[in-house]
Amino acid sequence: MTRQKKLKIALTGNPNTGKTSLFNKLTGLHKKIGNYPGITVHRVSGNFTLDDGTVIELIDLPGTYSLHPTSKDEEVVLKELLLNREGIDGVLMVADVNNLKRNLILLTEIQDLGFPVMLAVNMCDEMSKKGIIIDVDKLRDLLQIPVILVSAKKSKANGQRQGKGRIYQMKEMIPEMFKMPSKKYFENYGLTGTSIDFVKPAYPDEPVYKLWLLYTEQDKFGEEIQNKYPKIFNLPFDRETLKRLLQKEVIKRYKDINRILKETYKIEKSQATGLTDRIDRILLHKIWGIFFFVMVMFLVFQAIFSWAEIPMDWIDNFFNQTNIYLKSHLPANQLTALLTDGILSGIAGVLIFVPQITLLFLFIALLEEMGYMSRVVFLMDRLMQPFGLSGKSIVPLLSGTACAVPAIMSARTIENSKERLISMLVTPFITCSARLPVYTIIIALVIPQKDFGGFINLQGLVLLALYSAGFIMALFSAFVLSKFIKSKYKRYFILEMPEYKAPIVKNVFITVWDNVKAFVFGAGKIIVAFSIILWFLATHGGKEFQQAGEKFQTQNAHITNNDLEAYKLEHSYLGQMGKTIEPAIKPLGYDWKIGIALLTSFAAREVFVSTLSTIYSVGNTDDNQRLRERMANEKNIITGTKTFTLAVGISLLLFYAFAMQCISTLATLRNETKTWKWPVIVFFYMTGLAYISAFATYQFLS
Amino acid sequence: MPNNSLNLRKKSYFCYLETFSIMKLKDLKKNQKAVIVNCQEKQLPLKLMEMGCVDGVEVSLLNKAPFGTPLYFIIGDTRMALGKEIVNEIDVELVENDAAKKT
Repeated sequence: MTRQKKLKIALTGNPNTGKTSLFNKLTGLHKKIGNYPGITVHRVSGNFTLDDGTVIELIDLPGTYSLHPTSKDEEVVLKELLLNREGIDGVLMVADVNNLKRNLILLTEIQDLGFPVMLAVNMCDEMSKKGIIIDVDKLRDLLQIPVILVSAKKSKANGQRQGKGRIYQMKEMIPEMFKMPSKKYFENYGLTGTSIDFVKPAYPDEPVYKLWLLYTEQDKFGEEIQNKYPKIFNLPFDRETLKRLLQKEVIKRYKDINRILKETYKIEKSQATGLTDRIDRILLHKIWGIFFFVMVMFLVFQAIFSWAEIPMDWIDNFFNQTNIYLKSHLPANQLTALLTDGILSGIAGVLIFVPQITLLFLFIALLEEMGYMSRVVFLMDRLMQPFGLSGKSIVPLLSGTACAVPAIMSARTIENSKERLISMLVTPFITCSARLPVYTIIIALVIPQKDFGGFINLQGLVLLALYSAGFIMALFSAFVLSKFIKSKYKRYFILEMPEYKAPIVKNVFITVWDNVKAFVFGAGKIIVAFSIILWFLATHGGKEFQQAGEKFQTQNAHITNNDLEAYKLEHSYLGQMGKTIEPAIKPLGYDWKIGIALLTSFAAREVFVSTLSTIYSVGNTDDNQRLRERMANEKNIITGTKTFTLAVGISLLLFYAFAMQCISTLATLRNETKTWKWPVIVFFYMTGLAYISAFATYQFLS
Repeated sequence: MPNNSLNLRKKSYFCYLETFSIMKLKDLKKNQKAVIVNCQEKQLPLKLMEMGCVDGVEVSLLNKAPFGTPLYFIIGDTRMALGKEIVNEIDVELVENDAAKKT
């Protein structure tokens, strides 16, 4: 019986070294995306098998410059490697050939922790262009680890020399790292002073550098670790002195690395190209840079607003046709109804988002691959920073005008987890396209057609005000949240600007695929479940609901099918709920009919319109003109006054502007943060805000 | 004459710069080359040093963001953008002054 050998290898490296590309090349599409417990940092892993049958589990750790974290993501690297709860056997370090010196800082730190390491110098296809020469054998001897030159970009493109062979060689080289003697740097620096030397005998098996990191980064560890290493946590701790020692450590490491690279790494400066500089001169220009950014965002807008509409219509039509087909061919019973109106509609409600997500991530992945996203941060940081947001937050905020679902997902590209979380939480405030039908019909109803100076239209002005209200609320809430969400990490703006590169097409598609998959199988499940519940509540009811058909038959003859539908909805469970919440929404100026429409809006906000059509027995939901007339004539049964007064209209508009009424958004938030805590907070915060503002306007105006 | 005295003051200011030529990183102009002199002594994030911003490393300004900060430098081999809170702290010594020559 042969037992399969298994190895856990962590993939580490500086940001922008093509780490993820290499990960994709090594593992293909077989990856697992999870979350590190308790934090919103994704844990990505994948498997591949070596020739001798050894199964390698590769864990893609977040990019970092060192083991001294400056964010939650980087903290993951420190904790994974230092505490090694997962049982990592070895480390595969990816470095950028253009910046080897800086990349090796992290490598020496990992070596000091005693891990077997292998170095993959990536982007070797750029070497000849930049005049870089590396003596790989000597580098291997000096670092005492296996070293390989690879190109994640070119490894498949040109077959012979750097072809698939390189990636294959790299895989097969992994076991070699366990045969090399481990090299230590830190022990010779003499920095630990008496303190660590004093406690060292208590932990004879631990590398000195591990104790040193536990000591210097002690505020990052919880009680469990403190109890495990009591002697370290009892040592006197003086931040000032320590900082000097840490700086000295960096200098000493650089000295060691310089010594190694002097013999192994040569660069002919004359051949270095200034392409990135020349592109930056335009793309970061005060006027042209902003202009280009606006054009890019406009293109993204165009894509998610109009291009996405075509496949969205296909999906919509396909499911409608299927529904009709199934209904006509299956027996008309509860099960068929559940299958068609419940499950199939739910799935359609998930898949309808796929075109927008695909297009948005296509753009984001392309821009990220090419190095433009760092420039977006550079251009926009000053604007977003006062609100506790990253320059990259501009992407979710602007995409939110189409739909909050892809927009919230696009926040994934924000490195800092606090800024990422805030961006996700405030994006639902942005006026999405589903609010537009609601706005249109209410504005047409209560706002008079009036022109100012011949060209400014009052209705248009109100619409603009609603969009602005969304943006202002998003920024205001971000500001408030940034004061409440505490981060151990002080915000310093240090951002590496990678060189511009041609995108790796396969990587772009993998990114798109990963995100679509995460949505369909993550948030999608929740959306389907909620749609079925909503469907059930709207189509089932108590005694009166069940007797609706008989009752209408015995009554007068000239009732229409529309009246029956209206009656049924009124007496369904959902209708009962609408009536139950009436006391709560009365101060906002709404009756139970609007209450039902508010509840059905949870499926999607635009459902408001079709629900009112049903309740007012208008029938055809596309007939906005008739619905509007019907709404204009709608009177309150008790007072006999019109239901849709100016006060009610404005109150409803504000309610829709601020309230969290979208299951898909909540499901996406839950899927991205991996906890119900944030969607619940967002729900109550937004709906509370909506309630208060609607209440205030109604009471003031009426 | 007031005009004259203003010129004189301007001149002496430049003299001062050329003798000592130590300035804040935030005042570095495009096309000027400088060397970082006191990164280690300041309370700056360690990350900066890990990224290669240490004493003696050459630095030049590539770009300024449209709204003032951050500033975009090439420091050693690394292109990086740094925020206000950092460029205000770092001192640099000019080694080449193309910008001054041009004026």
